[in-house]
Amino acid sequence: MSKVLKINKSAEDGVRELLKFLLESGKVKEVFTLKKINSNNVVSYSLITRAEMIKDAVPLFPLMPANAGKLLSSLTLKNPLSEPIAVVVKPCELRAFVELVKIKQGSLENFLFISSTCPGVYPLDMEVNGDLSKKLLEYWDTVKKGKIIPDIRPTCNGCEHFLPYTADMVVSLIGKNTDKECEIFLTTNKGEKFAEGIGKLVEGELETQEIESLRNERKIEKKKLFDEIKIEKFGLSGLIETFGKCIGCHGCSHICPICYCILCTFESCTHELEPSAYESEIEKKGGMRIPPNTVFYHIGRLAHIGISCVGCGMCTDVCPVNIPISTIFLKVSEEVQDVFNYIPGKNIEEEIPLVKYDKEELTEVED
Amino acid sequence: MRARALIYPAGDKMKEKIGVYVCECGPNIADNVDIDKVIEVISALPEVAVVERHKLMCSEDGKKFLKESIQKNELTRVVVAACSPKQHEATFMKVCESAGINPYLFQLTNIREQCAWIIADKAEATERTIRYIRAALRRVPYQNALEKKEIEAKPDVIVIGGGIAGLSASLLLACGDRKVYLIEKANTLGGKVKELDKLLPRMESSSNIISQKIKEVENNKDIEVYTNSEVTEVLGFLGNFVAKVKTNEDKELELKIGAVVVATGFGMLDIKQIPRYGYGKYDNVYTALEFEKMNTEGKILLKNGKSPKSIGIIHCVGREERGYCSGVCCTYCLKFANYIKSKLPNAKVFEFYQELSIPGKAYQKFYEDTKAKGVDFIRSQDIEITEQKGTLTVNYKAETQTLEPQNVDMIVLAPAIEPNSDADRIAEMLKISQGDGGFFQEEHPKLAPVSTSMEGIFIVGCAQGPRNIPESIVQAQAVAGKIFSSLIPGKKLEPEVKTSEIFEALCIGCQACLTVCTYGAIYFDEMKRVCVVNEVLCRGCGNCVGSCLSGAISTKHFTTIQLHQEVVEALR
Repeated sequence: MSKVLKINKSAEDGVRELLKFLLESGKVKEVFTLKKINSNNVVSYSLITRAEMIKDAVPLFPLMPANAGKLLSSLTLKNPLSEPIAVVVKPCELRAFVELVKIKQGSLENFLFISSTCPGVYPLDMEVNGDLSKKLLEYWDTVKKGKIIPDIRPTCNGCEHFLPYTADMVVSLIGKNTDKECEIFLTTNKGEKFAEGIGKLVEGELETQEIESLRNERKIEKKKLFDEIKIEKFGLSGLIETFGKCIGCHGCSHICPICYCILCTFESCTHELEPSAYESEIEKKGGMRIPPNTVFYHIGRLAHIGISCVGCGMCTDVCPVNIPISTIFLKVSEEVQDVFNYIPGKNIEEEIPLVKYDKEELTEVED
Repeated sequence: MRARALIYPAGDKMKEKIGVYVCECGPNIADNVDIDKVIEVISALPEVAVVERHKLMCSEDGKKFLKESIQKNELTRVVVAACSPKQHEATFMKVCESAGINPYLFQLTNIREQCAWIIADKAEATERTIRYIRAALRRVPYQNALEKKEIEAKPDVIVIGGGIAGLSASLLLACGDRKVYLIEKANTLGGKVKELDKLLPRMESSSNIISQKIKEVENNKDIEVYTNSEVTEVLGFLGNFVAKVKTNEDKELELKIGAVVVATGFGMLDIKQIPRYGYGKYDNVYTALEFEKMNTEGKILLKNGKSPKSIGIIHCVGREERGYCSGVCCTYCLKFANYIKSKLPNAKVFEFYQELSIPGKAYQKFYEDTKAKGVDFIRSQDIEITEQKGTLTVNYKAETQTLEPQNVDMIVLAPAIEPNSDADRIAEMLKISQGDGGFFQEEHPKLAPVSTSMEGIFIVGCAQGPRNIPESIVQAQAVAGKIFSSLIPGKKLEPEVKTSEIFEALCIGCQACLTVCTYGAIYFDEMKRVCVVNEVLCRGCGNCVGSCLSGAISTKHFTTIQLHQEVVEALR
């Protein structure tokens, strides 16, 4: 059970009221949230300091123009925040940020994390096409029913981690009457402290029947997703077939919240072949794909950051040739994470298994 | 987005003039590798300028031949196919240097231990030899010239602990151009040996021997003794340590030294932890050191002032609990029997032991002589001491069978030797590890028994594990030898050349490398938010390279590209 702040407005208006309260009361200095940047539903993450600007904030907008985890990391990479900031982010964005903080790519200090039971987001091209505006009614209607929303990101469809793990406040959306009522669960002491003075609190349980049934539905959806791709049957030819489409833009790595390297090894010349190597490859096989190392790039990235992959789906979203990168990543990452019984971004105290040294670990593969 | 120069400067590999030298190693290589064939195949490779063979490349004649050939052919890179780098890498590096070529532009490939000696089939060994030489040829153009550096070094030494090991080390080390600072926690020097009555096996007076050592130390003008003092901080590395010492006047001293000798000795197991021995509960149950004191004072007496008629000496107290044999107790228990027999010839003496450990050339005779004086040796386990009306009873089992308990007037217990109570603090302060039983961990139990993983920090005597007096002195001498050979007064030190380096531009500042560096050679630069290698401390082990999340670290001479090229060719 936790304390719940109930506001008799739509969910989004309720959150706006909360953000306004936090700014006006001086409890936070700034608010980090999605904000409309023109009338056409084009949104972007923004920092807002003036309370009157909150009216343009769309904190629950079903879009992820960038994974906020990456943005919060760059805000706090050099120094922790000196004053409190409230941020409204999706659960997977928060998890990505926690993963980055674990490897000292940011600091949690002075953040008030507001998240929600996440219904999922639409692919970016839906915003670009202008189709998104037409979808919004259907979106909120399906949220109310606690069902899977048509046409959202495939990874959102199969996401089981839609309850935030480390947020201070959680807006309950799934299965709720979101156009009339806003329920904000204060899930930490910090959350309770920041909500002091805004209004009357009641007691409530965040986890509901609707959430449980959506989780089950998504599990089935995830299995379907994996079955479609059948990565376990890939073999080398499957890899070549899948990644053969790659044009080498490396957008997936640039947009990935976990890809923390300053210079990706695949963008250095470490893996560039010398003329002699081209010659010997051609001699051996009678021909070769140019540019080389495409499969190597994707597998390399998978091996490198798979353990921390939160399955946000940014990579699939930005891929210009529609490679289902995030599904492949999610499948492989989950298997690796299971080996270490690790859920990325769930707990800041839990070290990343590949960074931590454990004397007794993976004993079954010894000798 | 391409940062070419960051990763490695691309030289013109085609311009290199590479020479390959195959050593026959007498019959060792020549008998099982077809060297003519090797030369034929290797000479045909376009990157090779010259291929030569020699009967014994490491001989004076061979070295001269190699040097002249390098110079005559104006080579820029050299591959020698011979024995293990452990054996002759340094030899050939010196030859390269004398021929005017940077020794790190040379590669030794091992065709003796890894081909000739282990592959029975000559054709196969020959094929493998060619493969290894090709791998070295592929690697060597990617090697970089590395320069040696020199740093000033302090020859002075700090010795922590003034027991027999610390005193011996100090006396050996102190000389005109080397000062020793001897730091002792207690108010006098001498340690535990000072508390003993006589020494085995010749039964000479302990106090004579130790006082003489203490006098020598106190009279030595190159040894500064600080009693009632404690080392509180040690920072730095071999040749350049700075130690802080809190002295008895509560002053803080700062000492600049080149090496640290840890001779902190031992403590004794607190037998009260094992109640079945009755220590602290019954009168007339004594520890070994209490019994020594009784003997030093002259008389073996019971609490009531009478002489005991029978004494039980109990070995192995705490051996099972601590998990090791303390090694010295059996022999000093024999000594105790001798104490008793010389002072109270009619007293009965029983030695209760689990296993007798009396190795060494002098001790068997000592044991037999002691036995001949009428001492009963009883193999026993599960000992429990009880008391009734002033009589102590030793209850015990032998081979799982309970035997008749033995009544005695007095009991002497030989408790396990433990690390000094200060050991944890000292290990943390010096960044050295603790091994079995909590004793300081040596670098290698057989090959480097007095060194630690921290270069310049040495462990001697019981600080490293249970030791008797001669063993402790031998270790003190070993440490002196190590310090004599590594810190020569007036001579500079050459730190490791093949150190790790961190590319600032690639480092994300996650500090994973800091947690795996056992030499304390990496620090975090808060301003730049990157990790930095202290090249003087780094020994090039490569742990950090493996831990680096963003591929920012490489070890000089073992870079990814060098290893990659070598492996690719070896497997081709």
